[in-house]
Amino acid sequence: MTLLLKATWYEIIKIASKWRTYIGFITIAILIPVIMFLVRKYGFGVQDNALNSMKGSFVFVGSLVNGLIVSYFLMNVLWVHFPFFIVLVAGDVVSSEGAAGTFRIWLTRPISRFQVITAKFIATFVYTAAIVLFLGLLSVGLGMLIVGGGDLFVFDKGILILSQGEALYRFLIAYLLAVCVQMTVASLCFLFSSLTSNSVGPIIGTYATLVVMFILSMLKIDALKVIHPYLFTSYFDVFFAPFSDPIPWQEIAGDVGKLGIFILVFYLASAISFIRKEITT
Amino acid sequence: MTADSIYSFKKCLMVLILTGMVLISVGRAQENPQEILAKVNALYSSIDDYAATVTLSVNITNFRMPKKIVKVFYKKPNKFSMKTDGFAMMPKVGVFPVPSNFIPADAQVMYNHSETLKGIRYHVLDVKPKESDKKDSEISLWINSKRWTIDRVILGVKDSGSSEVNLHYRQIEGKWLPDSTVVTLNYKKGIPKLDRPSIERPIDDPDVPRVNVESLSGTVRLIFSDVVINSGLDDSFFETEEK
Repeated sequence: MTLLLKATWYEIIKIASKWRTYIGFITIAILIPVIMFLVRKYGFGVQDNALNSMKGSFVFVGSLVNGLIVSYFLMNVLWVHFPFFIVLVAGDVVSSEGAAGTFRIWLTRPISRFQVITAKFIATFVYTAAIVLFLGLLSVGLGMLIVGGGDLFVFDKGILILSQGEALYRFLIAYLLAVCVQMTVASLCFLFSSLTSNSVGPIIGTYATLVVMFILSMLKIDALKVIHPYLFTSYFDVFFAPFSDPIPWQEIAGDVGKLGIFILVFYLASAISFIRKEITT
Repeated sequence: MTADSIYSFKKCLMVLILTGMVLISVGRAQENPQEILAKVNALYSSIDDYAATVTLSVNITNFRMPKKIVKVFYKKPNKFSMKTDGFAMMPKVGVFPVPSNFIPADAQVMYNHSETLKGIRYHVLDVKPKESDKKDSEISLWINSKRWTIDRVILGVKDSGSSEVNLHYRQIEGKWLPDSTVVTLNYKKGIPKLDRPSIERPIDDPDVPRVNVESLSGTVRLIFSDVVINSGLDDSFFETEEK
């Protein structure tokens, strides 16, 4: 256990010492403030569009345009764009050491291959959680700071307005679920990384899989519905579920359970692949 | 019964009906809508400013929001301010029921009829905007003839629907001021049933016309508390709000 913890710590240090690890953090740190400042300056027409039918009889007091609604809309990057930052690191975790040949030295130590791959997997999870929560903290925090706080306006069987306190609680759950979603992407990339000795292949492979799955999920062809339960992208929208009222805990638990199965399968497949891996040549 | 007596009975009945009709028309002619509105306005003439805390609860199809506390401020002749944490939607009628606040200056006011409800006689006035309003809206007011308060308002928009505002009052410093207001909405076009983002539709666009838009129905309830009148609200308070 101590060996595993030590190995995990070293893996985290290894990830932290690579330049590519910070590409995602830097992009988010630049992009979020820019978006928030632009919204603050030019506004956001969501209130006008959605509440049009009530303008005749009501006066709107206050505004629904605030940092929380921008953060809510920003969560849409978690579908396709954000996984790029995940695969950038997850694709490199195992394959880079295979390419560099460092496994030959490392695996002479009294640590099992299973522990090595587990340490790398945990380190990948730490990176994934860190970058997702960084996005959440920065978008909600800077949103409230730059655009302002207030009630959150969301779509759920019509229009649902959540108080600021309730919205912050929902964001916390949503971003924890987003970690689970991104971890599915990371674990698939991790599997590809354990199969190859260069990091470009796993990145392209994971992205290609994601795109194909998104296409299959989004095409309005009834026959394709048969395969939807087997596509992990079918459960990616779970991070929007906390913004329903009441929170559909059963649905969330079901989706998280299914994503958990995908993560476990990818992890076990990575472990099997790594244990059987030929590293002497 | 002889033919003569039947004839005289019919004659009496006719006279009674005619007399009744004459009395009604005379009665109508005597009711001047401007005078009635003046009496309503007189009720609030001694109120220079008004502040209250309103607890707002909304129950509308496809629209959910938590209970809200809204601070409302009014100052003669037409300064308004409303403050809340976050967002709230307040009915245009029913917060401070001075007729001038919701009857357009160029509107034509007509006496429609009088009716008795729960032992109280109400004057029903119709308000029609003089200038051709695109929405072709019409307002009907039920004015309590005992205390000269507006107890009911119906706002109708042609081919669109209507909203009914029922106001309940209590006496504060000898003046009848709103205690609670219930707005009942009934419009053809409601809020679209927008779904939360999903894999099939990551962003739902409220601008996209819906095929089956449900009607807008429901109620908005306002409960007034902490009512303060003539506290000397400064004009600058409202100027800041306008900015």
